[in-house]
Amino acid sequence: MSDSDTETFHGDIVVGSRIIDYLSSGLYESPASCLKELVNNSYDADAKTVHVLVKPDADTIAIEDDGLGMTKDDFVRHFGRISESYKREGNDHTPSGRPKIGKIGIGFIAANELCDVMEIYSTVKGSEELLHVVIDFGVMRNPDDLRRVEGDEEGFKKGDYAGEVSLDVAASEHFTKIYLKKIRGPARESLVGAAPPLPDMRAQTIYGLRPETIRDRLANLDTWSSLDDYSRTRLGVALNVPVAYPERWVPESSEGEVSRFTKRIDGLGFEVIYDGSRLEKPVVLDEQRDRPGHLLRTYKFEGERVALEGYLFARHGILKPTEMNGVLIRIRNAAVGEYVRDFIDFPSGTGQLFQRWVSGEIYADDRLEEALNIDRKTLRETHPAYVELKQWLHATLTSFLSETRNVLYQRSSEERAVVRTERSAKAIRDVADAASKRISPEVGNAIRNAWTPEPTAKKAETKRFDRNYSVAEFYDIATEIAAEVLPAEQAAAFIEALNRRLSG
Amino acid sequence: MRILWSKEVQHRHHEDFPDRVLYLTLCGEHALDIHQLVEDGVVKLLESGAVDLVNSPKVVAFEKNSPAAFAVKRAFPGLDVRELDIHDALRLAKPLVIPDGPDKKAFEAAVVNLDYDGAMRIKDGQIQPIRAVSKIASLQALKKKDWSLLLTLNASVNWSLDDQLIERNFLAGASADVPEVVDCLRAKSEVVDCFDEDCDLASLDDLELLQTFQSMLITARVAEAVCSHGWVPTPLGAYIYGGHDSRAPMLSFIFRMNYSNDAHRKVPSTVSECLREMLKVLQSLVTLDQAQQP
Repeated sequence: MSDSDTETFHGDIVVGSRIIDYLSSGLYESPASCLKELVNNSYDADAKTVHVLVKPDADTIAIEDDGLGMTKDDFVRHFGRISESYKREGNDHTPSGRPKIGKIGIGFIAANELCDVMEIYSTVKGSEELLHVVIDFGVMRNPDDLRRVEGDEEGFKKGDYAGEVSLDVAASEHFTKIYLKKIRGPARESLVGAAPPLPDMRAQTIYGLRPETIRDRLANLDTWSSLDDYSRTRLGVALNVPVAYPERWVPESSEGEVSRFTKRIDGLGFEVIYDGSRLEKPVVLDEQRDRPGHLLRTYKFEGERVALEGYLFARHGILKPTEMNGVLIRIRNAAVGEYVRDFIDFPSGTGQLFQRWVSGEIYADDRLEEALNIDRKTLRETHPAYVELKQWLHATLTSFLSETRNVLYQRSSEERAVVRTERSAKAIRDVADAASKRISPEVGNAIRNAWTPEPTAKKAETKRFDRNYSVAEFYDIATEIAAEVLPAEQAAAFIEALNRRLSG
Repeated sequence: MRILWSKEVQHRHHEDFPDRVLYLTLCGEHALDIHQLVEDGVVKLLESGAVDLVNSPKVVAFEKNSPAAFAVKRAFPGLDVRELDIHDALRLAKPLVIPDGPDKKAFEAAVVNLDYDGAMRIKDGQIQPIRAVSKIASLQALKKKDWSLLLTLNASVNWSLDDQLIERNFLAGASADVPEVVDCLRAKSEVVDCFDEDCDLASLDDLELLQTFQSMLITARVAEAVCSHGWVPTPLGAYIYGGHDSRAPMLSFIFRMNYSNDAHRKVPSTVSECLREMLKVLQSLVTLDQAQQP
């Protein structure tokens, strides 16, 4: 190709079977799900940095990476017919050693749920060729019979493309720049954060904030629902893709325990800049301010059908933001859906209260990937790897919840009992002091001696010192004692004074 | 140049039209004018470096090339960068068609910066940037709020001899009441007469002469174009730079536009007045190459 030449080409994006066609239409329930697929594609292309640009109006969305890029032949081969699994051809790791997340290339057409037109610019290192392709997804809105591929019984069109290759870049460059255009209405609103949920509610946003500020905001947030759509989409992407954990994502005393997870992700060397701010996992596990204390345990498990490592964290009180309550499963460092709040069908009667205090992540090995459904957000329940993981989780969680009860709840009850008995002992001492002044030091001493030893935090002791009496019981005791130790006239005067005091 | 633009933007920023787009620009990949506005505190950034969409005035940029548009967005996340050819957005090919809602609002900006770097094309007998100015003036006239035009052009000529003749005759006619225009140009060169029919502007070696000729021509064309839509233009500044060391001969203008109900009835006199003003500006002109880098 000479400098002045521009080679043009065109074709159809075809999915390889009707099943995949069904599955790839309406596959992604939110813009975040679609966006994370494209970000994960950049990760699989060994990109170090991805820029995602959405604001101000999501009129066009950009996903620009500095990855390996692709040639025209790569494009046609990978995307001309989706379902032929080229993504892991030869090696299921990228040249830099990352385990590839994508498997059959279906994530690429996730874009069709966001937009009607997708534009790609790409080049590979060592070539001056710039690939430019415009994909029109309009065809997939056609009826099925118009989308059948002639001479290919199993093929269904998802879009058509027109491309060109020109000599427009320096040989040292390598990138893929994807622009999503003609963003579909609902997706656009969701991406840009069109309006607060109710007119009188002012939703918070994390747009324009530094990662440190976002981390602090999340630490004080009850639920992501109080954020605008833009922020929730951004958090949804961050939760899924293999970006770093924030600074101080666990209490300082537990940082050492989770360092292997922090290092695992940091070692991937992947960052996403979302509207100018670095994306970090929205995982912030803090203690409650007014109820300090937490429990963090890390695990490694080598089963017959699956191996995994992970952690469980509990704090005293409901875990917030509530979106992080549950367990998040990651395969090849990418999340499978969101946190599973019922810990994969964990019996609700078992430690129900404490289940709401817990958040955890599981990094499973590749054998679990076979159980991964095509939507990448659910797992096949009957798959042996899944079954084994579930059994492990339930056994581990049972033990963890028990420990949570002991360490955070019961210990906390005991601490409260100590405070209470100390208060009781002081109250007795105060009464004795008052009696010393009002009657005589001997009387004060007598009271003190009667309640020696002082109360302790033992349950039985607490009961002895914190007994409650009804008014009737109190009168019964007082009249009985007055009758025993006082002449009748003084006893009458005593009871009369007691009446005045008690009747207020 | 960017500092002067920023001053003009700040001048308009103090006007109290909160919903109005403050600044429309063809900022190019490097968006140096936006950097200047940030430096001068007009565009405010949030802690991550993204544009503060609540507390910043509205700024709109047009950049038809997607990678260039997103290079600007990478530098200023949140900035409204539209991946459109400004002439397409203006619907320049259809004079009677008004642009769609968001684009229409953009063209009602308080300051419009048309920074063209390519040579001025003549299409259907009209200089394209002047055609764009005319359409913007027509859209501005819908709201009748005063505005400023920052116009940067490449003075190079690649017009046919017929087109050159048309433009030359236009300037001669427009300056009939302002003989100083012809005097000024003749004073620039004893050997070349830009108004001579045999003078091919496209092969003119004296680029400073060409830049002066084009300054007068563009002033007259702008004045004529906006007057007919009710605007009285005042040239506030003209700057000449480039034209040597393989740098393109550039012109840059700042015009303020004030609405007048009878402006369209006074086109010839307004054009003459504008030319007189431009001559004053040119006489006090210090080329930017001497004073500063653009």
